[in-house]
Amino acid sequence: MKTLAWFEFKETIRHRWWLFYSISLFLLSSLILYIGSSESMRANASLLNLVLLLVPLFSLIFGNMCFCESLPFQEILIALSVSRFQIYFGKLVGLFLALSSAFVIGIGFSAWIFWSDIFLLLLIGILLTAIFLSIAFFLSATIDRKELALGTLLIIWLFFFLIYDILIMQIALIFGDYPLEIPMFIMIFLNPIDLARILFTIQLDLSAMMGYSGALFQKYLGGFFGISIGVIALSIWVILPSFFGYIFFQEKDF
Amino acid sequence: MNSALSIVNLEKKYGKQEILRGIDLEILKSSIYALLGPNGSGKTTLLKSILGIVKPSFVDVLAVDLSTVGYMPQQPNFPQNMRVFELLDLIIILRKKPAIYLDYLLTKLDVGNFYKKFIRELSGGMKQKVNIVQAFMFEQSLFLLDEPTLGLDPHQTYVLKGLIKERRYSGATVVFSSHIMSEVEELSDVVALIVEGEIYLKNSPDTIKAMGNFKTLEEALHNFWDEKI
Repeated sequence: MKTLAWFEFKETIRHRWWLFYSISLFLLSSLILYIGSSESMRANASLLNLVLLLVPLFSLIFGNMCFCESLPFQEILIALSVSRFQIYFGKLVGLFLALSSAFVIGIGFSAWIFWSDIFLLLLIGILLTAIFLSIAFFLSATIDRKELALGTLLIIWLFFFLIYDILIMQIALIFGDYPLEIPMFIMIFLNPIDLARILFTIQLDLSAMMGYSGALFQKYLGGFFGISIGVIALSIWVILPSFFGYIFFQEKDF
Repeated sequence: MNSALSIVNLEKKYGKQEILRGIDLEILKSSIYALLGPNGSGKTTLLKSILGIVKPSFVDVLAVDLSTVGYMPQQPNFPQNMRVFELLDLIIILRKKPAIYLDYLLTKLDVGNFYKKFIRELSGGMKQKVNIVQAFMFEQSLFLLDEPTLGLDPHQTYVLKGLIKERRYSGATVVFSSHIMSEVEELSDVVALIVEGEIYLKNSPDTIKAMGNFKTLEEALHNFWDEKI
């Protein structure tokens, strides 16, 4: 698997979209850090939004594109007696390393120039890359038609990025008279983008603006313990889609 | 055991559509076996089923040793951002065998000229040459070739046919699909005509021609084909 992951990594970092992704992240984050140099809190919040917007979207689309493009070559790998496990996870790991490196280089370089502390943001971005690549692989392995898979991926991204929040707001409005803190707390774990956003916000101590539920999140997700819980929950988001994607990939016809 | 490949009752369905029906094949060692049939008859699916690239819906027996198979897909689609030598190196590492024919093939097919180029820079014919090299660079006992001469110029076709004959004489078995009757007649010991997912006819080219006093294999198969359709 190591050989295939390394091959995939090399193949991806030579892709023009990899370069485009890395440069876009660098330019946009530099712009945010330059404009917000006097207000680091606001700059960090803007950086977070950039990461939450771009990383899932690019990981989904690029993951699907690479998966579909490589199917004909995977025929040759299977004919070489390479197991489907090695092919699937070798490709996933290689792509993850390549996209993570583009992210770290893009954001990290601008943070280095502007002396900004972005450790947690880097961690969140890397985890989001892994999560949305896993989801892309899951859908690419289950849906044979390329355009249908791409459409579904875009709907998933829109759902997690926008629609899920609208749903939560609606639930809060309709059931405002009931104690909703616990259901809300659980619902946050069902959306990796929201979970990443709240984890970051709490660590920046912006949760005071979130009222009682903010206090609840602060209690459970604040500090090192909170980061650990959040990272474990995000890791589950990596493992489950990639595992179920592999189940389908085992039976996939090329 | 004298067979290189043995299949009993192989079936493949996509939903309700039957692609392959009750395929039985016994391919002897050191022979050349041609699969013929119209487009969509199931030749490629059969080759892919043998390799596990397509999962059969049902099969009683599928006896093949994949560690000794060289496979040439119909349209090579290699990773675009890798160089030719990097791709071949990967295949050598994964195959875990020495590529004893690599240098010979690089010279014979003039791959040396573009050995260090990226795959994306290659023409269709050059990619097909790389396809031949990756399939033939190891000492294999079985070769599965899906329309191997597609996209090759006459010289390259001549070289490939030479390779197929060489391997057969050194004891290997070659199974290939084709639409080109002259090359089937020239190369094959046995021809199988596949129509609508079933093997309709299986015999040596000479026997098939003798069945109806046909002059050429093309004429004979055209006749059987018409009968079936």
